Amino acid sequence: MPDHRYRASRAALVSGVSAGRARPDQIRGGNLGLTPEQVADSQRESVLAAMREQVAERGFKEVPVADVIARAGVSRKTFYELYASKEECFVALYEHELERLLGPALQAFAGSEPWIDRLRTAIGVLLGNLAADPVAARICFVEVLAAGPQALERRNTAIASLDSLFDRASGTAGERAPRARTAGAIGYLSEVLNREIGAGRTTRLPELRAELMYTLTLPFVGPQDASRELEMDGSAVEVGADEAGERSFLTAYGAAAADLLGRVGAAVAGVDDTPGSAAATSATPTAGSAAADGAPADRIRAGVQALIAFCAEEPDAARVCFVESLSAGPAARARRTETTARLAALFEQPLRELRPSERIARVSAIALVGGIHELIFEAVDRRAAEGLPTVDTVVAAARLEPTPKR
Amino acid sequence: MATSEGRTESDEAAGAAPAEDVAPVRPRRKLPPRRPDQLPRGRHGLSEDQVAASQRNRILDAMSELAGEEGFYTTTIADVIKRAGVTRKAFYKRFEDKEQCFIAAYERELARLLTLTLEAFETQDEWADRVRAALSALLHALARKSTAARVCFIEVMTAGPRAIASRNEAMRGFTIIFDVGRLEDDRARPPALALNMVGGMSEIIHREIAAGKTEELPAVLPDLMYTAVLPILGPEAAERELERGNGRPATTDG
Repeated sequence: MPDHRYRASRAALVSGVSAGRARPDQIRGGNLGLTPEQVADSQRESVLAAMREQVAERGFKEVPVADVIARAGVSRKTFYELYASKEECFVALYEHELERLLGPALQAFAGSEPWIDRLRTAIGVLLGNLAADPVAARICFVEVLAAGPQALERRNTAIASLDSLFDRASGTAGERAPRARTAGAIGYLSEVLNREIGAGRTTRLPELRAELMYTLTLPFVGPQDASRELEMDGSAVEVGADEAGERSFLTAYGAAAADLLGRVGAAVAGVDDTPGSAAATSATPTAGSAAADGAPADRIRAGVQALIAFCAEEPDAARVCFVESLSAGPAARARRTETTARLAALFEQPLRELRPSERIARVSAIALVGGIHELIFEAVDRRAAEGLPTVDTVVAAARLEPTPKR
Repeated sequence: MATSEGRTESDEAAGAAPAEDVAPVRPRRKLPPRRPDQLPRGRHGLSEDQVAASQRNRILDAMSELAGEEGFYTTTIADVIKRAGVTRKAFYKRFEDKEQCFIAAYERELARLLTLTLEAFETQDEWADRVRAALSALLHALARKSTAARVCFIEVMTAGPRAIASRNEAMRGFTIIFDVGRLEDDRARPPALALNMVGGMSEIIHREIAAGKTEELPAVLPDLMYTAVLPILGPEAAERELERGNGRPATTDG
């Protein structure tokens, strides 16, 4: 694991993020020349955050839409433009939270070790994630059951997708485990989670790992192997060197990616606030300010400039983001993919004004980010700022000069 | 590649001395099914080089299939040698480790894709037509062979720093397509434009494959054409490419 390579920069990175940097998509006051889509995205995020708080406080059923919109700072009209109903808003929140809880567990499940070891790791990651975010746990395993038919249907689909945890399970003949047995095991898992979370014991979930593993594996490996799981102490979870390395890598990665997205997001939005990087603004006067009035091409250029400046000023963080994340395990790669998608989304907004359709804007944004990766990789890998491309080189393929409207 | 020689399965002589490193026969276990391109057991009169080439090819095929089906991370050397029908010893005679074997498999798949892409490129005269033929051939080839698609666009990114270096190098092979356009263009365009465009195209393709839409890849041809033509020929030409849809210029594509 590339542990040693980023250790030096880790502390600085982590403190940079926990200082509460503004999210790139957070809008304060005025519309800052944002497109309606950008505004809608930001509003959606505020509404979901407000819904999350409200559900945590009083449970979905008792949440009035009035309180959600008051907390989110949007109008009732806006709320209903975003979501057809309170339930639909909850479903969106559910999907968001479930992905955060489950994604890393499923990533951890990938690997070449024996099935039972991978399952143990995945269950361990899931329980750890639940314990770390009791609100999300409650939304995904308790509230969802009481949030109406649409939510229930979505929940059933999500739960059924956990079948894959038992594919190629030991003791099964084919690639796929018999569905009756997987359904039983998954039903049991979600039942236990529902009961424990409902009873407010979410933070103690990791202690149940051995017991859960026993019951989950019993129908597949038989009593002898299953009871071996009971002997594995939950606290002595074999956090192998790789796993521990990946976990601390993810901490560094999260910090680096948040910094990157924060800078690029602020630059694209024309908000000149990149805290902790005063050097960025002085060295590259166009990074944030030029875009304020929002000609789309200028905003894109500002975003690209901010990205290149990030690579030049934070070579370690840039290397964590763009290079090391590829070799630090499946969870790290998944995070990298997510960051790439978010970068593309930042550029997609202004690109919509330059492209004939939304689809082409999306494709162009992907191509822009892909082109950037290709051009910066080597310099970032070597931490060689002088090898970084210029903004003009990066945007040449995106052809940003205003085109006459026909 | 000498596979064709490897298939001369005529020489089924009586002698039991294995000229190839075949898995030792265990009496109580059934042997895995033999691959059609696996050499005959026993003496077969093939030279050491021929055996080596055949084994190497089978190992690379097996690695490519497995990494394309299950992922590089999940694939083990045990899986590879089982599918290739060679011994562990034979594997380590040809490759240092799983990563090196994967890189060789990747490079072979990519070379095939690059060859057919450039061959299609050469069937046309106008640059935009040439790009259309090339990208169309590439997308169809990827759609036909999803394991190669996954190896070349997804798994190679996960197989460690050496694999990534190999991928970065290999991608430069595609830049010629865009360099030709760049150089034909009157206005000067930065030399890095071609690599920039290759990166953009590969990201678009990567997304589709990662989303499980490998078989539908030919449908992104208009989007790729738009992205390819825009910086060289401008927005009007790019929009014309969108309007042309999926049509390929008259070209052969196997």
